[in-house]
Amino acid sequence: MRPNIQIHRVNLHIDDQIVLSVKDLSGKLIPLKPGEPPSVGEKYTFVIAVESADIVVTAQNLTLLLNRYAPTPNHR
Amino acid sequence: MKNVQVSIDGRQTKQKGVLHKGVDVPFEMVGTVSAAPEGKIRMHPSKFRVGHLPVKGLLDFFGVQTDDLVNGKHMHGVRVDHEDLILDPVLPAPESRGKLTGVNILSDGLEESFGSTGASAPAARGNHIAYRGGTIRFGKLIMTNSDMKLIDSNPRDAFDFSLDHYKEQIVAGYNRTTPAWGLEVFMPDYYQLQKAKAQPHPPASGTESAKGSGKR
Repeated sequence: MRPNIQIHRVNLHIDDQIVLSVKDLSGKLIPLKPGEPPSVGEKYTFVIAVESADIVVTAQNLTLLLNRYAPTPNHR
Repeated sequence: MKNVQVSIDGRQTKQKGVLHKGVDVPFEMVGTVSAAPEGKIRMHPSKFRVGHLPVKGLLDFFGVQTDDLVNGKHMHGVRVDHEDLILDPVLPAPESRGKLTGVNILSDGLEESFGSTGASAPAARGNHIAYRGGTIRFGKLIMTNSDMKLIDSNPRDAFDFSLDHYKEQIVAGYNRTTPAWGLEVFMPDYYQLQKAKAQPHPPASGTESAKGSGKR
């Protein structure tokens, strides 16, 4: 059974600069390593399967996201 | 693309930046955003400039070939649909997967909706992150049939929570066990910890001003 996660009214710092304003989120945690439970706060140990969410991203944070994590060309 | 700057222009988004195509060329794109049926972000440009050169369309702008688009090999997380860009609403870790169902432009940002949103259940009130069911790890603890809630000890504003510094928040807070063996962890906002760090430290014990200060 996968753990349920519920977030309500949280400013989530995903790194030292980028903040997402999560008004509400419901979902499940899917461990990235089979057989190992997701570790709270260790963001590389799980994926969030979002069932419903309402998230606000400011223009400033969108700028940071696009510069740091923008889609990149595949180099074949 | 580099040096991208996003701003909100009325009901549209504006992106400025530099496109590297042999030489650096500035570009500006203004357009609307919406949720595409497949759960991705659709950006429809209404104004599009690349340096002083006319641009026929997004295909020319990105310098991609149709067969690349059909094969989906050229770009990761983005594709072109006629004159629109279709973007994955992908965020950095923790990776999240969900179907985007709505995008609203706010005065200073975007509001993204996934799945069916609505009022949270009565038990979900208060600023928090809650875990229920399944097994989770929390520091050295492993909790089966999990029942844990990270709770904002200052609910007047949103719960400021840092994924990279959550341990500091936990150490600065306290916890209690519920009658059902659940765990409630109360913690200060991350910005409060940063503010406290930035303040000058009190004099070390033994100095004149610290003498007799007694209990905190």
